[in-house]
Amino acid sequence: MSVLALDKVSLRIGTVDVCRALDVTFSPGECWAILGRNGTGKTTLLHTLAGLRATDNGSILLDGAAIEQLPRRRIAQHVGLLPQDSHDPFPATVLETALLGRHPHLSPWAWESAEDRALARAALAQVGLVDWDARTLATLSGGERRRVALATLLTQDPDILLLDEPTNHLDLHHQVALLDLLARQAHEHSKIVIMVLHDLNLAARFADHCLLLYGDGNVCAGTCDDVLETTVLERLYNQPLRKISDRPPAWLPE
Amino acid sequence: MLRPASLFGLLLLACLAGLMGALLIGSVSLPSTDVFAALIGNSNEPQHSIVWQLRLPRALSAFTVGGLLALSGALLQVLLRNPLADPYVLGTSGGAAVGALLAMLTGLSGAWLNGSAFVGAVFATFLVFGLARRDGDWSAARLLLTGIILAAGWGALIAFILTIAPEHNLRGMLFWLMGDLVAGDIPWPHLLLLCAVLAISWLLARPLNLLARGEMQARTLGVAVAPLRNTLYILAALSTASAVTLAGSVGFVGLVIPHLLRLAGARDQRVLLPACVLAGGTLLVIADTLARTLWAPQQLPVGILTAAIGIPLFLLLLLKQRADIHT
Repeated sequence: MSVLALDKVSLRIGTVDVCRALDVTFSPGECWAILGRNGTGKTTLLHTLAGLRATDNGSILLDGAAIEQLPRRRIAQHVGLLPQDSHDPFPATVLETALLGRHPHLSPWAWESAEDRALARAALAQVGLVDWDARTLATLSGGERRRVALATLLTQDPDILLLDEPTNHLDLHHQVALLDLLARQAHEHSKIVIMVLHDLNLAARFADHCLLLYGDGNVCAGTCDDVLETTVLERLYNQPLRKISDRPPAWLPE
Repeated sequence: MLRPASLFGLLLLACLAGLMGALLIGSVSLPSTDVFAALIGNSNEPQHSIVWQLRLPRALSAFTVGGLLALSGALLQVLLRNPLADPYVLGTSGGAAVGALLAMLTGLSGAWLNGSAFVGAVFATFLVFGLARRDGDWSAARLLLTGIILAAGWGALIAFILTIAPEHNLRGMLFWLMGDLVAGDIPWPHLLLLCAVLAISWLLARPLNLLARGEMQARTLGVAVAPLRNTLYILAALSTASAVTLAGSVGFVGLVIPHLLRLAGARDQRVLLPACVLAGGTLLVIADTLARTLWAPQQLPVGILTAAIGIPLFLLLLLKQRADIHT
């Protein structure tokens, strides 16, 4: 199992200080939520963790090695990303899309085997898309397409799953089912799950660690039990909150 | 939707039929037995030279041009992530046309004309590439915009040359602009280039499947995107330049063939790219056979025929697909 760490990382986008000399270690079995207002750099931080973007200072360490030194293929064998949105200009079926996840594990000129197809079908079954193989993406709803994208990530089967607003477009039931699936990936399969979430209550219920981005370079990282205090969250979102439950913790905006 | 095996079976049959048609049909009527005898080197003049020096080289030229254009179109559509991209979006044909017309204007012909067109095509393509780059990277949108703007510039230059060109040059120039195959030798360099581009792009086909889903998706799934895009750009540019040099700007093949095949179920680049070569080549062989026989002894520019065949075929498939979705 891999370990991902931020080593004295500083990040800036334009005038926004995302973080300054930040040290965080993400260990197997942990499920992290990244929280913060719009434009505080949550997606930027996630992309940086995936090695898609250079840091302004410091480095991202994947098993102790600086991620920008590693070939993309090596990274993809350990780190997977669910982007915020996907756009498919060309026709493709559900199974073909899920099978893309096998790419980093196949030798360069190999074709997908029956075994790969079985893995892709199992991943599709996990997101509730059984027997949808031949459907084309264009005929799916936004939420269904989101689940296909998630199945691609599960087919890739990385040790570290980075997810940018994974509950986008999903109905209430699928939001809960998805977050439950991700939490189990961490707890039962010793994966690292790091996700950007906007729903504070879902984050508090399913994540065990969280990382708060204030947008001024201040960052607060730790276990949910330590970090998720009403006063802290009110400052984070610039919004008065009322705590309505302790187990699991839940808040309503005032 | 066709399975890859049946798709390739159909395409191979069509390709053989097209090539046979191109060898059998012409202004001099040759019985099929004579043509076959000539093919296996077992006949006398003039059948031998009609087959080996006129019809076969011309059919192979047509096939090569069609294959190069369809392949280049498919590659550019992935590179720009835009199903509306065709081999000429980067201004290649405009540059080639200006090169060719300038050569005609100064009275050059043959290899000089072709060389001038090739230089124009390569220059135009790398001009777009150079202008669209910023900070060592470029986006599909900027590339597309730069290509379209420069293509308009080439169009104006072409109009200018046509305006000042002497009367007796105009017909040749117009034919060149509409896409025209002329008799010549078997185009070995172009044919070799087609094989090489197909081989290289086929080896890159699985990463291309990912790139078609977007740069970020490709990178997170382990594709080194920057070198792949540069390779793709060079392959597409060389293919288009080579095709344009051989036959002028034959329209339509590069846009329509990849679409046609995707509608027929060839979504995987590993299937799509070789299918494009077969289908594009075949379409042009058939179009060229018609171009030199329909109005005989007058020859039509082959570009007219590719449109005449390609447009109805494409619309038919598009309508059929809409019907499939509704049922």
